[in-house]
Amino acid sequence: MKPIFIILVLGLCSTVSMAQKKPLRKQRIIFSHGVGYDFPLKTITANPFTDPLTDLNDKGISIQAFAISWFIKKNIGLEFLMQGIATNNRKGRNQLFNQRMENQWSNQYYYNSYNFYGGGMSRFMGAWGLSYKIEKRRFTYTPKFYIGSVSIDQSPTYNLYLKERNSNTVLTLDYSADKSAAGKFMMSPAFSVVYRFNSIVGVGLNTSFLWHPSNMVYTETLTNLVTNEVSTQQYKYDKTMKRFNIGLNVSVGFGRRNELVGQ
Amino acid sequence: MKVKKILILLLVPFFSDMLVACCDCEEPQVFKYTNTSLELQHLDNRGQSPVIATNDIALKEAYGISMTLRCEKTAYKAPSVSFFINRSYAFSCGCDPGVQYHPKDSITAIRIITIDNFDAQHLSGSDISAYFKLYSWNNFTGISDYLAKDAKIFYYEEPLNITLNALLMQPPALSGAYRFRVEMDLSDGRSFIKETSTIELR
Repeated sequence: MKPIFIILVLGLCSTVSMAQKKPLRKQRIIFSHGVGYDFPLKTITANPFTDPLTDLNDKGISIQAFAISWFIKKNIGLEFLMQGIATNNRKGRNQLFNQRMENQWSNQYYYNSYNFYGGGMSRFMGAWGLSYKIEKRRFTYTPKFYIGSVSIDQSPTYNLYLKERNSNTVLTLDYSADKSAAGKFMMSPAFSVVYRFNSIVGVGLNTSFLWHPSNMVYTETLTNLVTNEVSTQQYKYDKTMKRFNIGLNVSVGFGRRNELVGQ
Repeated sequence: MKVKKILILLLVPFFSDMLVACCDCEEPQVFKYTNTSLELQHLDNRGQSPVIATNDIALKEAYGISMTLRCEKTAYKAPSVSFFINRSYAFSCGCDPGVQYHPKDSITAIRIITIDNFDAQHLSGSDISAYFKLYSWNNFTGISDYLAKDAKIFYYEEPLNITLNALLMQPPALSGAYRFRVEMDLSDGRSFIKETSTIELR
């Protein structure tokens, strides 16, 4: 954190004296970190009990852990991006799930509900991007296109014992997700505008539109422990998820001394 | 030189025993216990888990019999004594518990007999064991499946009572007063035979 702060301060201080008259260097390698907000454009639902188990429809703060852009040939570059999304709605989803369970079962059954939420980032995204930068004085405009993978939290298996009131009957209710498809292929067109204070440091605004298939299957299994009767039901999430991300970042870039913007 | 050799030869058994002691688990103290008596109580399972019925009325769909076997310690097997050094746990991962109570006798049969007419097929004196299941920690076991399991071993503490909660899975068609007799055979030839008090199943 400290080196970044020093680079920023030095960069900002040198802006007035150095960069006003001299054209900025074209940047070849750019490192950036940022924060943003990530939200779905449309929610996908399949079942009132399994919907709250996944973070598929969650929105929250996104942390751009790092992005490295390397402009191989003039303005065409490759980028690698790592991003985490701190969806803060696990507790809310948990409460919603428990509320729905109570409405469904509590009149006829006793059960002990439990919490499935925890802290931390629930979703990660890693992507490779192809970018083209247009540098105009202090502004750099970069349309990009990413392909990569995004992880979806499908929650651990949730199981309950349901003891029937005034009866010896006990049922088990399980919800389990198909974990094999936890990482989803994603693609995302994006656009960023960076204002550069000098040849090295800049701040930027990023927007991206993200597609990924939901491809999730939850299996609900209800077992009567007395009779050993089992009934199963599957709930499929098969639509394409569309999300939008908007964020701010700080970038630090390096270029050759003799390659200047406008030349 | 000779003295040194003699000293080494004398110390060889000591070091070998120490090596064995360090690499071996402590020999567990094995006790035996025996089942001494059987007690029966009515169970009321209307709530979240079965409890002892406080009166002589119960819902027939939520009825059960609590069978408590009293156990007592009978014998003690002395652990083997090491020649020089006691066994230690220095390298003992996954050693058996140091104190164990093994059964001297095990249950070979449990029969639940209805004393009153239960239904058209099961008149007074009929065996209705198949109508009951043993319930423990959200797990139901048929009586025959329970008997097929190994008998209970207690670790560390003195043998506790063994409680079997037999829940009635097929209630009688008619409400009324019922009594049950439980016959429990043990591997040493003994049998416990007890009757419940009358319960009004509604």
